[in-house]
Amino acid sequence: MRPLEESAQWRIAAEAFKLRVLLVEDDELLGSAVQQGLEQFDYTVDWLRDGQLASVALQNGESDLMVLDLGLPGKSGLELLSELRASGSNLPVLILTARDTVEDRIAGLDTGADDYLIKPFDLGELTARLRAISRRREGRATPLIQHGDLVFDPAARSVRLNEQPIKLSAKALAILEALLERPGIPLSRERLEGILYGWGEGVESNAVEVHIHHLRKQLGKNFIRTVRGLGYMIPRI
Amino acid sequence: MTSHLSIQRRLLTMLISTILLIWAVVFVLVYYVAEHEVEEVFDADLTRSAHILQSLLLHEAEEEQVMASMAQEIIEGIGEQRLADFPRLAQFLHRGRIEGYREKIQLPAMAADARHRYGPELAFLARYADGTVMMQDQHAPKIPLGPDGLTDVYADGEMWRIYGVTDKTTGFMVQVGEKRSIRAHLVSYIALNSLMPLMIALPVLSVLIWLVVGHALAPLKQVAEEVSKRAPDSLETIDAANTPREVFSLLAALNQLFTRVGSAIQRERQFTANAAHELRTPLAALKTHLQVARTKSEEDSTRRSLDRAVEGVDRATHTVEQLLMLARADAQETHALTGRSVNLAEVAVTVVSALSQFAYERNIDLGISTSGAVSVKGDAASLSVLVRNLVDNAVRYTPAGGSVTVAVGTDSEQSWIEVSDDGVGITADERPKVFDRFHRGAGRRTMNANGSGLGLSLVSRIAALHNATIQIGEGLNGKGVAMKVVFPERLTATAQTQQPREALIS
Repeated sequence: MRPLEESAQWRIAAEAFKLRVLLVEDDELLGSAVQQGLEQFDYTVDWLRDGQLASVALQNGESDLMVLDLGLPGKSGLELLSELRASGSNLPVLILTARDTVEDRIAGLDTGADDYLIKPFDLGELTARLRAISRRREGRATPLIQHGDLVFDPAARSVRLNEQPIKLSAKALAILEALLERPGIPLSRERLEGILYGWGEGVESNAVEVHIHHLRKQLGKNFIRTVRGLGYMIPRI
Repeated sequence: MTSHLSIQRRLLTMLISTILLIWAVVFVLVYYVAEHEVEEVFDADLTRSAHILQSLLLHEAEEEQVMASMAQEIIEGIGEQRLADFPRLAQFLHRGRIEGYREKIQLPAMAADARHRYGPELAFLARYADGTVMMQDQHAPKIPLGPDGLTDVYADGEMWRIYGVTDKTTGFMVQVGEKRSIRAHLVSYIALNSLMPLMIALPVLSVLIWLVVGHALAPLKQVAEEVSKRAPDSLETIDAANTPREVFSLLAALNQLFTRVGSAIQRERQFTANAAHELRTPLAALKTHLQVARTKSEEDSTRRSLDRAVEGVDRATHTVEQLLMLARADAQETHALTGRSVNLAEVAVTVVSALSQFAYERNIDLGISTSGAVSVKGDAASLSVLVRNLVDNAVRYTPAGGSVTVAVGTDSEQSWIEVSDDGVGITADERPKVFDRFHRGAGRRTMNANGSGLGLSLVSRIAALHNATIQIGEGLNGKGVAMKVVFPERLTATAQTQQPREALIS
């Protein structure tokens, strides 16, 4: 992400539109890494290393997102989170946790986290998930889904591949959207059929295969992968 | 199961045997005391009878003596020569001088019904000094002339107790005898009578002991019930209030154990969690810093180096994760796992979904083949780790362009999951070693697989926790390897299944 213009004025304006992330992480080594990493992805990062301080910062309400470590001095991440939710805030929160037991993850999500990542994580995945949760919060106001050379506009129901518009049926678009929303995770044929049912008409037995066939013809043979016995998947890049 | 002796039954047996033993001793004592007393009383009686008889009959003997001496005096007064003229007088006087005109007394035979029942067992005999019988009981045996005092004599096929007394001046002797069998009979009668009430009391006593012991053991039974009702892996303490002292000390010991084991498990989990945290956070920092540096760097060679460094971090992460999973599986107990049923097919689908991206990145065609729910008893999270490691292992060690297929199935007796690949395979002599910790196959070490060498140890540990066996066979199309985990019992598909935990999250 390179700024298009170097003028100081533009920079100030761009700064104002940058998303503000409150990073709460007590570990200096990791905190500095995540701060730099997020800044590379054009976030403004406020990094706090103490739960008590974070609690104060949250009251100011200037953040757009929060990245929260669970093991914190002063006040634990879960405490901080439940306080935040109790105050009525719906600030998107992503939990960073070193504890990978199911109980820990469920506790985090139950307390009101939007997503979680287990340490160590991939910087690209962290930013992708941050984008996803802020999109969810805004009710898809940030519409464009980019996947490699492909850009999908859910609002306009249009697809561009290498800047070229591609014509696709509404049902094919619905299938593409479902797959693009969860890259790297296969969706079963039954699930995709369910999406087609949502369009109100009867679904023929091979409808999903037919639409996948069309999509592959338009987007490239390997754009959608078949996972044998399971369904279809668009791999993460 | 070995048969466990019931305390109640044991107490009953012990108490009753003790009582019987005491009674036996009492019986023997009573017998001997009775025998001794009867002997003394009967002997005294015998002695008294003899003396009474003697005193009654002695005058007869004295009379005879007087008569004899009178006859003597008359003979002397008359003179032998003159007396010879009166032969009949001489004969009379001579007889008197010698015998004193004694009479023989025969006791009349008593009417049978008038006799005391011990009558036939008694005998009297009185004799003059010369041994001539003066008086004799009809039933008397032929008692030999015995010494004075008490003697035992065998006569007429029986033992007799005899008391004899001789008058010093006249030599008149009285003997009174009695069959010994009377005494024996009486002694046994007394002893048995003393035992009779106890014999009647014995059944009543048994029932009472049974009830009382049962009542006393009730708190113990209650505790046993309470313990058996607990969940197998529950470590909660048992309420020890209102229990008797003996049970209380047992419960206190049990509770102490529960607390100790509980805190040990707690410490273990805490350690695992802490270790995870301590290792993961620096690895995360390292990886993020490397990725930040990579984005900033302009040089291709630097980027390549940083990519390799990230790979190294990923490999360390993988090893740390598997070590932690292994530590958790090691800490788990078999009995804690057998509770619920898990749908193996659902676990397999979840794992294959999660690893699809990984397989894509390694250019492996990963697929699954299931036909309906396959239920096994166990822990969903552990089984998920098992399947994940099998699939991860197969994807990791199969060369790019290969295939990995996960199959879940069930037959009449067992359920199984099989992960097959068409990779380099495992040689027969290497198969036993693949489950060793940190073992990595010779053919596989050359591949850039980033394996930890722990995956299959983890699989084998979790399989063992589920009493499942692992079979290593030939993989797809006559190549590679197939790992089949076979679960011992087959559950019906209708059994309630536990949702795989991972499915809740993703």
